[in-house]
Amino acid sequence: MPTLPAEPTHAVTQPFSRSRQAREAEETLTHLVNDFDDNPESMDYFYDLFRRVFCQGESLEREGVLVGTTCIHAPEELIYALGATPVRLCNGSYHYDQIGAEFMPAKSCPLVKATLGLLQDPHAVPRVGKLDLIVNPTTCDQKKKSGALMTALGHTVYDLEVPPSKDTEHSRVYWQRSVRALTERLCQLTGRRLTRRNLRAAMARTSRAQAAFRVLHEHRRAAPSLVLGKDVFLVTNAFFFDDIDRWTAAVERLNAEIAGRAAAGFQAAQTKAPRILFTGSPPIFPNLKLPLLIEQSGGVVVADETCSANRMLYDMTAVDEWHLPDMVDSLADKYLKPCTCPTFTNNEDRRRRLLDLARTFQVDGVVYQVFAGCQVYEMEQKSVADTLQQAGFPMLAIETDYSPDDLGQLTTRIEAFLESLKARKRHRPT
Amino acid sequence: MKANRPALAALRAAVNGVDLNRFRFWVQLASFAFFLYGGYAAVNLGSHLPLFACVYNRVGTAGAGAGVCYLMPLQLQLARPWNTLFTGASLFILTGLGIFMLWFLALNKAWCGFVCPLGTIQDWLTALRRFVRIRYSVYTQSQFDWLKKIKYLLLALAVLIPLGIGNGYITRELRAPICQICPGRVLLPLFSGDYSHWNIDFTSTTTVVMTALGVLITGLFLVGAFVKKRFYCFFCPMSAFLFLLSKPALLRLKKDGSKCTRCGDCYRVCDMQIKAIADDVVTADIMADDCTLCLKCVAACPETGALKVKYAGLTIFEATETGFIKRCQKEHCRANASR
Amino acid sequence: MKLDLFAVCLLAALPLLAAAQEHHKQPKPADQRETTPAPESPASAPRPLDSAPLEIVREKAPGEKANFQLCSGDEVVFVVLRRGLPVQNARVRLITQQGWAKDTLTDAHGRARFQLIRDYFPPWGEFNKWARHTFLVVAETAAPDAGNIQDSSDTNGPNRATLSDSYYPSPKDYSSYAWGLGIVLLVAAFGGTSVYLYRRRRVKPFKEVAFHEGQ
Repeated sequence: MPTLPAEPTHAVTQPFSRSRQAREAEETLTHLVNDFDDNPESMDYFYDLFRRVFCQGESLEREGVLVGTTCIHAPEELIYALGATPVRLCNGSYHYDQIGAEFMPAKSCPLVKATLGLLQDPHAVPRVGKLDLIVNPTTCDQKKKSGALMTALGHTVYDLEVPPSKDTEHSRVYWQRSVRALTERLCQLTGRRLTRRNLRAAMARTSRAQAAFRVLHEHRRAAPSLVLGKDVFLVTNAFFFDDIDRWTAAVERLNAEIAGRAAAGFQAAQTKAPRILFTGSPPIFPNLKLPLLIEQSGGVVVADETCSANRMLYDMTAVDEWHLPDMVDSLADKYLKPCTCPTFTNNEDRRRRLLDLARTFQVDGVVYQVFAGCQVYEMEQKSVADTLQQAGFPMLAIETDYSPDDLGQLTTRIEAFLESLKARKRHRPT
Repeated sequence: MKANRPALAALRAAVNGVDLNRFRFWVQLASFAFFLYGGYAAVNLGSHLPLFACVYNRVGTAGAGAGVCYLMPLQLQLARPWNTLFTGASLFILTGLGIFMLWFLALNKAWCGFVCPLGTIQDWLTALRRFVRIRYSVYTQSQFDWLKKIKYLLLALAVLIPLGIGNGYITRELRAPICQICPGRVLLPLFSGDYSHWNIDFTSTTTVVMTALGVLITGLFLVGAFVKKRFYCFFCPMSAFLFLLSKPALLRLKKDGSKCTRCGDCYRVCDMQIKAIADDVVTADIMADDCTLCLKCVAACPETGALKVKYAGLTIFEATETGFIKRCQKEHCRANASR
Repeated sequence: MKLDLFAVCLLAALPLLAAAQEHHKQPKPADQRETTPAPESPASAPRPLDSAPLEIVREKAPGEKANFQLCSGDEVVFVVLRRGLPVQNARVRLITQQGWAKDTLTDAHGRARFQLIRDYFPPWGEFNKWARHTFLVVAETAAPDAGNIQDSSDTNGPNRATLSDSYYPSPKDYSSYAWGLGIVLLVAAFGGTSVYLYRRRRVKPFKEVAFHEGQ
């Protein structure tokens, strides 16, 4: 196992806010806030949160057991029910990406590299504290194999087995069993029992968060747009590590403000701004490179199909009988059945979802982001492009990673794409 | 249109956000009282009803309920010789069938989900099971696929055996065979205090077998309905019969596949375990043969417009995101209140 | 949860209430009934009727309805009336189709009580629950009475009258509630136990198959 070179001694005395990592975050945040006029006031909560956590390295340590998750497949309700706190570890920092590159092959997913980079840092930012367990769902190859690397770094890892297909009866039963096994492991970890009451209370919290997200999602339908995609990505990224009840309250305030703006006839973007559906590899702060670029170039991201935003909070659970077996199985089904992750065999659901989003949100074009090294998203690119193009939605596929080197090239491509969308709208009566 | 008619939009929102399970409970209770005790109010809706309002539920010689299940008249009427069956003498069978269809087409299979007394009894047994916090049973997909054929077999027997009787091949003691084995005959007269249908009739082998079967099936009904939601509806010949006639019905369950995320919430709450409601994104007329139109699926769907209930083309109830959230939050509030 | 509780109560209460009401309506067994008849309404009280010198009337059974059928084992009461008025100590004989006979005397109210015997014993396969048998009731009074026939006085009034009726096999002979209830309970218990055992079996640890070869 390659070891890291020792850090120069003067770096220890340098405050975090001056580090390269913090500066990266600072830059993104500055662009997010200052490049756009009339940011909603309620967004100040989120800007402030990210500034404190990512730029100043503020501690987010909480009492109780801390469980890290590396994928949206890990059922957070179970973690909350047992009195623990979930923290999504998926990382967007280029600094950590470079460090994590030491552990992984040359062309691998920057998200996994960044996560590994985060996990090797004893004072990792966001400063959530020591992780008691990492739940690592076996979704894509790289995530699956990174579990062993995390263990080598000294963490306790639990492999949550996700089935490779979600169409068959046995895959559904397999996943229900995985979730039950996870429940046992979590009970062991926290020393508590899962009861009807605590699970229902946990589900109440997450369903409130999901409801708040749905209202925000609906607001994005408005044409002309009431809120910019860069803000929504920031809001959903905050869900990774923020206290859930505080987050929900902040989103509800944001929703109220947007509703007020709608009544007042405010527009966040130009009427002619091309409406973009963003899909593919998840943009995670500070790597909000592409969405920022799109909106800086005059477009507006009105909808997305990514696991750092829409997919994380969209699907809601319905329970028939509020007894533990039914509740846990309902949760399991909710995490598996509607999931449009490309790691499954069949991507019919993803294509249908994309079409539905494109039509409902009246998008003009689709931007498909693929991280360099992400086999699954790259392999789905063609089928998604064909489906969208048949339905009349032009798609721009962009392969990128966390490094800022390709910014210039990307700007050109995106600007060209947006121009072509504008031209298309002009020539075609809507 | 909604901007111009805010009252209509408000009404729609109120209906789409209704607590369907509670609404259904009260409708079922009212129907139960009506079809089991309506005779006391001198109501008689005839003997062509598409639900199990049993003829044996009597007060003296008069029917205690507000009408009678059509299966008994159908079986008795079909017991005619072949050569008279297709003559004018059998015209009354067609008119009976016509009246039955008129009743049926008004509510489609919602007769099963909202009105049928046997369905209500099963739902009450489910309530008992929920109350003592016992988990429910489910069929595996392969079990589901072969068990669902039984109701068609029973329907075939309901028609073939009376024809056999009419033509002299089968003993008259087997007349109305479905009524003889139906748990409705055994259970529904209980609500008028008549326990005589629990008796085994020893007069001949046929009567012994048929009464024993009736009582055996009642035992299975009680256990089955306790562990599995709407156990009997899966095997019900009336359900098969109604489905075969359901094409022109006015009440319809429609699905818009493009809005469906296949989240399976509808499948989770479905009493009959119909997978197609969640997985089929192509068919628009999504009512399966087992469906009892209880509408729990529509209430549990979080995608606006994915599932709709239409009456004569007009959407009367549809799945909405706000309705789902309202019901979901009510559930959580109920949980907090019951602590 | 509250609605569930309500549903459970209805499911339990309704059949019990209905059964209690039915039970209340049933006639009491003969030995528990009082010997004096219930007061009759003025319209049906015995009154002089010259056109009926001697007659036997079957008294209506308590709770009798339009489709009433006499069955073996039922108690049947006949009233002997001379000119509309009850006759005491009249000899009443009931004779069944097969020739079984029973004698009794009428009481102060002219009533004679019989319990219909069971005399239908076919082979089991030929038992017909609608088998109808007739019986004859003959009433004889002790002393003749002066009477009038066609305006001439007749010192020898009739002293014998007959009545025939039919009866069917008693349901108690071929219909068993115990068997029915027994089967339901057996099936329910069996079914319930099977489901329970199946559910228990599911949570047992998976058993490995071990091979022992040439140990």
